[in-house]
Amino acid sequence: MGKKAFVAGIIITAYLIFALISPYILNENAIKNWHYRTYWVDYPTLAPPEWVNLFGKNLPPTENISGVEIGPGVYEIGYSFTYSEFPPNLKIKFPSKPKGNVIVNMTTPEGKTYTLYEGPILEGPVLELNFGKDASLIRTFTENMGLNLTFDEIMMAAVSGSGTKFLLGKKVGDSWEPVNGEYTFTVKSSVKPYLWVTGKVYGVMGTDAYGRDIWQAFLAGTRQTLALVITTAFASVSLGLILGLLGSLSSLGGKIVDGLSKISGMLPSIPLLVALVPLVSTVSYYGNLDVPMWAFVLTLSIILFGKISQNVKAMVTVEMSKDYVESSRSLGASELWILRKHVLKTLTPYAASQFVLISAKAVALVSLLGFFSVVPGMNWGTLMAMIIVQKALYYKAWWMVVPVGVAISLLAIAFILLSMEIEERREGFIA
Amino acid sequence: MNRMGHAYIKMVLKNVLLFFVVFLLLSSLITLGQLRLKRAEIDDTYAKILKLIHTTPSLQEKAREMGMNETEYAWYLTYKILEVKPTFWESFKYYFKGAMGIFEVKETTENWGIAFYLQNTFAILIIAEAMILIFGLYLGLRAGYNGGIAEKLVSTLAPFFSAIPAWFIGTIILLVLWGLEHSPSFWMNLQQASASGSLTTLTYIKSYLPPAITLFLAMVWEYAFSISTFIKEEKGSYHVVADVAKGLPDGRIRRKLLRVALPSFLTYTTYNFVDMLMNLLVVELVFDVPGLGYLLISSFRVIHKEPDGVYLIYHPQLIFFVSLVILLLYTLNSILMEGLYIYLDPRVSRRE
Repeated sequence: MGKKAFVAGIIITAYLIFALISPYILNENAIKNWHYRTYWVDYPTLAPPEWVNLFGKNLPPTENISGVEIGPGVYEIGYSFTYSEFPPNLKIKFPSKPKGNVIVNMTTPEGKTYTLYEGPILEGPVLELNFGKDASLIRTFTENMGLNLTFDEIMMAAVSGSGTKFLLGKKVGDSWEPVNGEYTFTVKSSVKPYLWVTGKVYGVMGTDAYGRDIWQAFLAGTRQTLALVITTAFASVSLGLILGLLGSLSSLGGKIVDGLSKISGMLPSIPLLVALVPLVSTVSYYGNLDVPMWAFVLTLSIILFGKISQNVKAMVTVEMSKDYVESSRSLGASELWILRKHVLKTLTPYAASQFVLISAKAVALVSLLGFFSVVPGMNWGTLMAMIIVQKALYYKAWWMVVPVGVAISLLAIAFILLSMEIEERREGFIA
Repeated sequence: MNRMGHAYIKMVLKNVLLFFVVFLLLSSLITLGQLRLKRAEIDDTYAKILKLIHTTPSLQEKAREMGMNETEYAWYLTYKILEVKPTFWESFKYYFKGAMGIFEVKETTENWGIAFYLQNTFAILIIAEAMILIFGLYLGLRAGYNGGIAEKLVSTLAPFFSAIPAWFIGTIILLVLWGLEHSPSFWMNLQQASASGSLTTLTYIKSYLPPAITLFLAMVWEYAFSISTFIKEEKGSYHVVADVAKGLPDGRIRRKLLRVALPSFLTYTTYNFVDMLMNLLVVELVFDVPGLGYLLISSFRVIHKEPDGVYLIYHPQLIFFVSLVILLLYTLNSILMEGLYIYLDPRVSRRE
């Protein structure tokens, strides 16, 4: 096995393994609720991935810290704040409505304890204390902390979502600076609370403009992308082989195949698929537009088969005119036998190399067509559509583009390397 | 008429026929799609309009003036509101007229005529094509004839760049430009120049360069690789060996080689033109260029609206128009390249 095939094999195997295990590490709820903004309301928007902190940044991550019961109805939550910027929000959340009053105390790294809140948790769609954006809560805890803020300062903080600076910082001149250290929240409640910190970084691949976890979309998209790519390549090569073979059997057939190949080469993929979407798509149970996979694969294979069918036609024509084929014919061999014994031997390596080459093209096409939202289901093309709709590049949200672009490019490069190896071996065999 | 003339006419007719076949196919799909979208609304809208007509004397009067009964008038209004026609053929004609009518639109919602969108797409395409052809030919010739570093560069970069999507190259360029504090957004550059009173042709050219360079980087290596492959194949042929034996200068031999390799290269260029156009549509979106890509993405949007589900915004006239322009460009390119092929390869005209 050549070096190219070895490298390509490792890359493709890694992707296949990743596609196999991705459903088991995926958060199904994240994908089910992909289009429901209320699900993502607590997540940071346009947050880069957590690993940016390895490169000199010191941004607070998003955390979900459970309370630890230290006594009957008393819970303690420890938050280690060691970052250079304030988290956009900090909430104490309750999974169900606590009975009676709730008391929340906070102990700072300097050892001072303040009562942040004392009162009931009001009935509503969310059961939480929002220290970053709730104006009345900000007023309460800042008064208890002796900060004596003006009405304007409180409202500005609530509107801009910067109430956490009063909790986790100190005023230095005109600005607020973080006070790093261990913060302890003591909550007296009939229900176990948890602390949700909306950070400035999130997860493996960050979030988009709606706070959605891009890593989940990438995981969900890997299997479907590979399925689309492999099915498209298989369908294109099969169509090319069949039409090429039929075209070589008669001169009229050859002219028809030539015409179809020209049409195939001329068809513009993007307008064609955009035109197909209203024709074949349906609306799913969750109110999502579903483009059926068969329509997508069939359309792409019609666009991609042209060159294959012309080459196959030429190869079969040349093969059928060779001396040993003439000899077989004169000995009474049928056309089918000749096709099986002689022609397929030549076509098989060509089909293999074209399969791999078309796979590389299909990877790029899926991403390209994704920009126009015409790719079925959740796949890497969906991520491309997000980039355009959310103007990610203009918000410098490189994490929405670069990791996916690298993944797509790496897979396509692997297919190209494999195709080059097969071509080299095929040329060596022919020579 | 001589053989070459016949060859040209046959080639032009073939390309024009293909153009019509593909355009009809695309247009039919667009029309069918719109009919399917509106099918669900037709009965609903008809029922509401009929009810309205029954209760509105002025509408009943209008129906009488048009020589229709209430039912006929209700159908007439239904099709008018939903922008469909009763039959496939009438809808097809309606959208075709609408697509052609776009040329008469002086302003769009952004106060640009359609000519502005076309100008931007054509400008980027011409700049990119020119750069690819010139640099690709030069590099391919050097790589094929001289070998060495040029050949290593081309044979390494060609597969690498053919795998990387053009939009990703554009993204890297855009992020680099942002990092250098230079706005890569076409529209932002124009606005800034307009605001400072310094909007000139140079502003436009500078704004076209990032997307053109993206396309150039995405496609030049494969072009150069193809040229170098054709040149290497021809280099060993007897006429080249004879020229070298005669002591002809290198430059002259290379020019001869290029002339021989050019027909195959022209076929390759035609075949890849659609790929380049598709890449251009997406690269326009990356750099925020109001062009055909922008028109196409505006023609179809899926909007998720909780809790109703999905709304489809679909403008068939825009898709008609974009498809027509792409196919026209392809056909013109094909006629040009195949014409050059016939001129350069005498075997073709002899065969014809």
